[in-house]
Amino acid sequence: MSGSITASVRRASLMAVALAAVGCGGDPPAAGASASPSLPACMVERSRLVLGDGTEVYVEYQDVIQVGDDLLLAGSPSYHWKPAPGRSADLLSSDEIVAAYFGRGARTVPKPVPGRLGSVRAAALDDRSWGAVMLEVDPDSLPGQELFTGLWYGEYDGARWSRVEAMPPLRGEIMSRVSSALVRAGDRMAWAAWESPPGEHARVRIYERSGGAWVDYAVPELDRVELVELAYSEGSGLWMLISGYDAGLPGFQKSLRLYRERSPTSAIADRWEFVSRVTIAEQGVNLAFASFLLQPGGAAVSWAELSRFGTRVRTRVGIGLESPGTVYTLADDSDNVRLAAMPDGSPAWVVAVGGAEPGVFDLQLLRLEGGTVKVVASFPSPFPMYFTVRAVDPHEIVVVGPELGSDSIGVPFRSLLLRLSTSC
Amino acid sequence: MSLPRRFVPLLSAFLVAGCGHEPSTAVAVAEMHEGADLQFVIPAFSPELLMDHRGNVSDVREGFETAPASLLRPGEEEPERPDATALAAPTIWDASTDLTFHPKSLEAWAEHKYRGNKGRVEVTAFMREGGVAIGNRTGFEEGWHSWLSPFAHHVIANSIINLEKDCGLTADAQGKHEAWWEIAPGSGPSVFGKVGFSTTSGLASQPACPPTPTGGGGGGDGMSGDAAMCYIWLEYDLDSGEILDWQVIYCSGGG
Repeated sequence: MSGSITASVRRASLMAVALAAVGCGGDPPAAGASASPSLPACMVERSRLVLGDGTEVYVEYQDVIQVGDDLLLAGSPSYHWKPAPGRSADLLSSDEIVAAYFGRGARTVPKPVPGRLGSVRAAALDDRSWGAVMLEVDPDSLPGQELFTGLWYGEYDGARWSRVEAMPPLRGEIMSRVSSALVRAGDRMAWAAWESPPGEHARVRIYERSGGAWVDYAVPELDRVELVELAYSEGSGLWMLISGYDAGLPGFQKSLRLYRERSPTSAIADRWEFVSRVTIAEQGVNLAFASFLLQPGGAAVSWAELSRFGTRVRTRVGIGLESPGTVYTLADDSDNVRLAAMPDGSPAWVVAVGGAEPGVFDLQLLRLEGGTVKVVASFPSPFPMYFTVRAVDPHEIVVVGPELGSDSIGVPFRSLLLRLSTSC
Repeated sequence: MSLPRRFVPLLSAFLVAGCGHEPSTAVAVAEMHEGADLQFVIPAFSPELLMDHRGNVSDVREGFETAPASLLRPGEEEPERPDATALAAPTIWDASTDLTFHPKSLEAWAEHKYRGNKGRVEVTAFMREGGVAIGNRTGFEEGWHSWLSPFAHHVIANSIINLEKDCGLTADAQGKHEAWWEIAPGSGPSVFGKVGFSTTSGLASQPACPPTPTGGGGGGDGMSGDAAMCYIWLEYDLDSGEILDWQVIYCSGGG
């Protein structure tokens, strides 16, 4: 395995020279783009989130979505810095921005509600507008111990918030980082949250916006839930990925499994049908950081397996109503994987794996070729932590995460975008 | 990695009156607590101290900080900026939630190892009798570390519920694991890069309670008059139900 990776990296390095010579990479670097000629192989852009006035912005990497030709980063918390060479940057604001547009017209979107937001999940509505679910938490809450105070939905038309409305509340304890993406499901918007009512185990609450009104319900017979995610496709409908206790298994086992919505009009008690058990957690193994997508070839799910004996990231692709799909191990010694849906219907993954030096790790772009996982690109990660990914055209993936300040302008951290070619 | 059969603990139970001793498997959690320290600790940093991203258990120095070079209060002195090359990837691993019954108590704990300079774990134990929830209790613990501490950290929290009996109860627990970065540049604390997920324990059960004797007077429970009630220690395989050993502890009643 290591031999093939090394070979792949060497090939990729040669390609980088060729790409630089012909100016591959589409648009010229936008404001904030690193002008370094020494981008790693297959990386066609590396851009900081820098506004026209030279100030720098960090937005937590919860969602990166494409809205028309724009790339939007949404999340919470956020910080806005004015660089100050030779000393710490001036913090212009914190937690006042919920999203930012990358690129030549980089700009920020202010939050439409006054409270502190613990989470922002966004989805495109059309080529200009997008919607977001914003989870408001008690401003005196400790990070990691948020107390729920409100839930909001907003629509941004590209220039202003055209709609902001309250959503029904969550019940009990919350974990702002354990909720699904906001998905467009036909003429509905759908979002799933993790909640733990007083004295009860964690469960899933589904929110749907249809006809201008929100409805919500707790999914029956699902408790001890550890993770929830949603995805939708026109052909397959709305699907839900659940991790946690599996009442369908003997004993007290946990699994990662998929459900499909029978119909938006089905009775709540009968709305979700079990589709497939993606994997069963072995004793002492926790399944975490799972994500999935729906494509014409079936569902693809990726997850990390964490145990005292190590970590690894795996995936199952081609999951359908009649097909269990195929499992691949993407990387050992990694707990960090993100799944992207390429426009041609194939999946791609970005994983972080232990690098050659202690304390450093590499990002690897992976594709499936001929039933084998191939390392398309590998380079030292500029991120000190997790990141998010999004396919932006048939041959490119963007990876967005935090970059810690290591230069002379005093900005502690800002958002960084990498644009990777999948065909290099 | 399927569970080896021999790892399945033998369930020891008292037949008829299984309210006796529950083997203590308590873990010593107290010394592993890492209390919150709201002061910044900027340690002397050496790149050689960086640990492997894989975070093997042997790499973890629980409760250990490098020797502090100074103690700073936010705003008192400009804190050292983080260096992207000096920070290992923050993450959570070895996350688990577990629980055990002790005599007259239930203890649940949740723990994880993490990189990042803050981590928090919360555990809630849920108690049931006859399938009905009868109570729960939550505990939490938070760890705060220097920006430049290169070591992985560990945080553990427990929750203890005192019980009035040692039979007939079941319990499980839910853990919430989180880690994030938090610094205090000149303008106040900044939090970012938060990750989190939850875990749940398995199910723990006390032995079944014996039927309640109704005393003399011919109560129809089959235990009055000359009947004796014997307490029997029974060991059987949890999977197969095969009885491996048994012995009479003592008998009471009878003529």
